[in-house]
Amino acid sequence: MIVASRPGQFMLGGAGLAIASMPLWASAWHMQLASTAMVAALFALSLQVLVGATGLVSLAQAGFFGLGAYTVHLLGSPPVWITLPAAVLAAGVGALLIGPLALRTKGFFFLMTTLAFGQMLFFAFHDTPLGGGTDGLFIVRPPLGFPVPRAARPAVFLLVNLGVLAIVYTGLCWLMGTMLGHALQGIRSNENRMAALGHNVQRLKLIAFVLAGALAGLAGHMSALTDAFVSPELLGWHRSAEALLMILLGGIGALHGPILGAFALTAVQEGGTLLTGRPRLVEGVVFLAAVLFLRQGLAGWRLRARKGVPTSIGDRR
Amino acid sequence: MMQAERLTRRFGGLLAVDQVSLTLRRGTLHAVIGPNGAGKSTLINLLSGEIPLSAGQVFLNDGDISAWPAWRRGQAGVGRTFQRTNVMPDMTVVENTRLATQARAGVGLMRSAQNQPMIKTALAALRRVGLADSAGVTASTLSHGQARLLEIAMVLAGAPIVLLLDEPLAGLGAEETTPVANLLRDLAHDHAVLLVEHDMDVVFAVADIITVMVDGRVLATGTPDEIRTSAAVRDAYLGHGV
Repeated sequence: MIVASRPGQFMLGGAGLAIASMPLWASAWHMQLASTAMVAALFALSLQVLVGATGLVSLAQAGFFGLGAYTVHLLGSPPVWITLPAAVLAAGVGALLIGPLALRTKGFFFLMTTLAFGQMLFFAFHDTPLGGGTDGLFIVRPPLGFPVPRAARPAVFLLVNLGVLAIVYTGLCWLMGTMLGHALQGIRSNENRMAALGHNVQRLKLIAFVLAGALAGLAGHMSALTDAFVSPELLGWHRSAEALLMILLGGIGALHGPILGAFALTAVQEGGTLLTGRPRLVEGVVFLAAVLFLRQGLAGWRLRARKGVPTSIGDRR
Repeated sequence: MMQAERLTRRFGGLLAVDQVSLTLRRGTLHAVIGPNGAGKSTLINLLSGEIPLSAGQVFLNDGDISAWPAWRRGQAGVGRTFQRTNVMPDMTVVENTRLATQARAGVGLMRSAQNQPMIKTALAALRRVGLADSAGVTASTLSHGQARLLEIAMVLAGAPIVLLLDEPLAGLGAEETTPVANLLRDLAHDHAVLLVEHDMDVVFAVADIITVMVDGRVLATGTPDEIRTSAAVRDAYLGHGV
C-alpha cells in the first residue's frame, strides 16, 4: 500500500483547502455534491483497509455502512456526539460478529460469504419494522450542538464531512506505518508465510475487518447526517461493489486511491446524468477505459509500475 | 530441542508419513534424505504445524505443541523455510526480515514499524546470511540464490530455537552452494537444525545425523558414515554411485 509521497500529500491538502473554500464561491448544489463524494470517499476508504491493505475483497461493507446510518434513525436522532460513536460501535460490533465466521473462508469463497452476510443485513432492514419501510424514510438530523439555519446546511455539512474525511485519512496514513499496518500488508502479500513467521493471521485479519466495519459505520453515519434520509438500499451489495469500483478507479495500491476514485465516480455519475441522461452507460465506458488504460488507477497516474504491488482487483493472486 | 514421536499423516488412503520419530538438538544438524515422495516435506509441514497430524506428538522443549497452529509454533521458536521461495514479494528485503522479528517480539501493534531495535535485529540476520547489501531492495527483484538466503534470514530474525529447512539449496548454482553449505554448518552451532536436502554431497559434508526416509517411514538413522555404509540404505535408496 502506497501512502502518498510528500508532494502527493501537499496536493491532497490543496484539494482539501479548495473544498473548504467552496462556501465562498460554489452553489449549494455543488457543495451537496462534494459532500456526497466525501461520504463515498469515506466509505471507499473504509473498504480499502480490507482490499488494498489486507488483500480481502468484501461485499459486506455496505451492510456496516447501513448499520451506521440506521443507528441514527433507531436512536431517534439524539445529538451527534451520541449518534457518531454509537454508529461506529454498532457497525464495529456487527463486523466483530460477522468477521470470525466470514474469515474462515478465503479468496472467492470469502467474497461469496461476505455477499451472503451483507444481504442478511440488507434484509434485516428491508421491509421490516426495524427498517421502517422498503423505500427508505426521512429522518430527523441529529443536532450538531449549534444551530444550523437551513441556508447554511450545505456549507456546514461540507465542512463537517471534510473534517471527518481528513481525520480518517490521516489516521489511516499513520496506521499504515505501524506494526499493525505492516503486518496487514504482509498478509496481503503472502498470508501463509506470515503465519509461518509466527503472525496470528486470523486475529490480524479480524482486526482489519472490524476496523473497516467501524469506519464504514462512520461513513454511514455521515451519510444519514448529510442527507437526513436512510433506506435499505444503503445496505445493498451493489453499494459495496460500487465502493470496489471506486477503489479500482482510484488505485488499489494507494491509500488515497479510494478518495480519488470516489470523486471521479461521483463526477462521472453526475456528468453522465447531465450530459447524456444515461449515466450507467457513461460509467461503464469509463470503467472499461480505466481497466484497459489506467491499471493502477488515478493514484497510479504518476507511479511507475511496481512489481508485485497489486494494481487492480484482477491482479490479486 | 524439538522431539517428534510417531508422527503420522494420512492423505486419504496414502500414508505420507508413518510413525516417524526423531529428536532435534541444539548444536546438531539433522538431515533427512529420501527419494521424491518419501514424505520429507510433509514431515516438515507436520513439525511446523502447516498441516495437522493424523497421529503422534510434537514436543518443543518438553512442552506438547501437537495441537498448536503454525503461527503459534512460529512464535514459540519453530522457524521454517520453504521448498519454493516464499517471501513477501512487494516488500523490501529488510522489511521481510523485520516482519519475522515483529512476529516473535509480540510487542504493541500500534507502535511505529520504524522500530530501530527490530531493524537492527533484521539487519544482523541479513548480515549473517550475507544479504546485508541488498537490504533496501524489493524482494521480488532478488536473484533466486539471494531469495533462498532471504528465506533463511527471515527465519533467523525470529530468533528461532529450531530451524526446519526445506531444500535450501534447491536451484542454486555450484558456486552458490558452498557458501550456503557453510552457513548451514554455522547455523547448527546455535540452533537445532532439520535439513531436508537432495544434494547428497552437501548433506554428507554438513550433517551430524542423517535419517533416511522411504515411503513415509524411517529406514535408518545414523551418522553420515553409518548411513554411507548401510547396506539397507544402499539397496533402498542411494544406488551404486555413493
